[in-house]
Amino acid sequence: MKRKIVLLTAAMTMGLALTACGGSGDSEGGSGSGQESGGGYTFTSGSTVIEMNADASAVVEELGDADEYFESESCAFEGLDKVYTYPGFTLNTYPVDDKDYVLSVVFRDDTVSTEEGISIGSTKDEVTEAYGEPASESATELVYEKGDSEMTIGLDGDSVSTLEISAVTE
Amino acid sequence: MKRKINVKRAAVPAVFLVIMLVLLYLLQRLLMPKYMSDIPEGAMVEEYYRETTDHEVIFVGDCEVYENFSPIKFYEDYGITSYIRGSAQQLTWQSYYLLEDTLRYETPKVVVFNVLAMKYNEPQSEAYNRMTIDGMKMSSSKIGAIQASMTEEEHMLDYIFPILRYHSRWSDLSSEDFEYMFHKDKVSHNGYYMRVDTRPVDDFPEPEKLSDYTLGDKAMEYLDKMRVLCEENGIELVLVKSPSLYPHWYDEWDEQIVEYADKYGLDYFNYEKLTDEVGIDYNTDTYDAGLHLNLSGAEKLSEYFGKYLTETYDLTDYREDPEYAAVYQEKIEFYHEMEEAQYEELEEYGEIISY
Repeated sequence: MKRKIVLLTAAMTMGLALTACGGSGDSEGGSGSGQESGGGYTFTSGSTVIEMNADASAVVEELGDADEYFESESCAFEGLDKVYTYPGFTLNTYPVDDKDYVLSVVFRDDTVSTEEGISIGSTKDEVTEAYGEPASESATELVYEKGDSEMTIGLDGDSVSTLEISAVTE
Repeated sequence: MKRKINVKRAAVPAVFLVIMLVLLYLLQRLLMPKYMSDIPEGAMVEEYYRETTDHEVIFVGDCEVYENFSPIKFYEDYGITSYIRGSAQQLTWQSYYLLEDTLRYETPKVVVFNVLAMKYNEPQSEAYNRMTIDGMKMSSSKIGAIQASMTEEEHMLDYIFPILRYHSRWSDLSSEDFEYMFHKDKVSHNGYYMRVDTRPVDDFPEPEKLSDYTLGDKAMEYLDKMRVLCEENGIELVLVKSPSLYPHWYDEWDEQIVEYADKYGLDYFNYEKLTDEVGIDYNTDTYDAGLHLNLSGAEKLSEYFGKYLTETYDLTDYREDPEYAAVYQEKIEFYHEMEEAQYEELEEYGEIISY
């Protein structure tokens, strides 16, 4: 009986090693996940809604020609990190396999704003009124988390000096 | 007779367990990524353990060390023995633990740390963590590296028993996984990743304004631990910022490193500001438009930095040591063979495809 239990335990251990844990499978690649987007902070430019972790090619096509474009080899991975500069903001992408995904949107000036109307120059009170209490806070930064995204708001005294919406990748 | 049967009964499950463990070990070897034809940077940490001779200079850091300094050039020009324990996006705490791990095998005279990683204060990505940690031999240093590096979604057990993480690679297995199950090809030259192709610098995006330029407390803590570890072992610590045009190294970050180096009497060289003196030409000395140096750039930087090392520290000229000379003769041949092979590939295909 004891022997059977030992054998069964061993077999189960092996089975567990091969099936459990639900690894994501991107075992040796991908600086990010290329995971499904949704549920996070978005940014709208014209009629284009930009979601983090979304397929970047569709977004870029909708946005039209960028003012500037820069690409660099993704450190140690296949593919390119890409930076598209549009009026008021920068769109960064990351590669997974053969596709690019939205990594972040960075505000460059006060001509663009979040869906809730926050832009560079807004006050800290306006930010907390729009988004509530941040997930973390320091003297110079408020960080909000939502779905697969993060919004990092830099503060210079009482006013917003930087704003970045970024993807949370696995 | 009864005793014999009891022994037999006890032995059967024990043998079975041993067989199961061996099978699990073999499966793990099979399923772990090999980093041979794809992403060779992932194989570099492990490669260090194959070294048969000691090194007087050890580099730790990210791609800005393993692509920009050539230990073979150091040896050819100055007789310096060195090794780069570098890995992709190596974070400061990983550099610390890799240094600690290295000190289990040897005590160099000089340790060189590249400061770009000081910009990160949090674990970044599992894929990069894996490329640094999976190749480390099991030790308290590896456990420390795992603890300091894990992202929220990662688990210690997955690092200790990688089969738990990689079991789903079944469907991705290729002939390479079988071929390199127990032995891997050498991919680096004492940790240096060679590229001979050239892609001149073009434009760069304007650096983003940051809300806070203070280098993170965790990064500073591990830099300090590295300094103390070096001090305790009688090792000179040298800080460098490799020449690179992107990603941007802010002046505010640089000032903090200068201040730290001044406080503890360390040498710090920001080679971004010394490109003319070194002779770096971003039209000919980079393979990816200014992010990393190609062989030509790495050799220029190594010639320049090697002179400083030789003149400043009491390093041995190992070209005169027959044992080292024999070992390095092989390394030099491998280095120049790869150089030649890459040039041939470049001529045939217009790009490097096998390295």
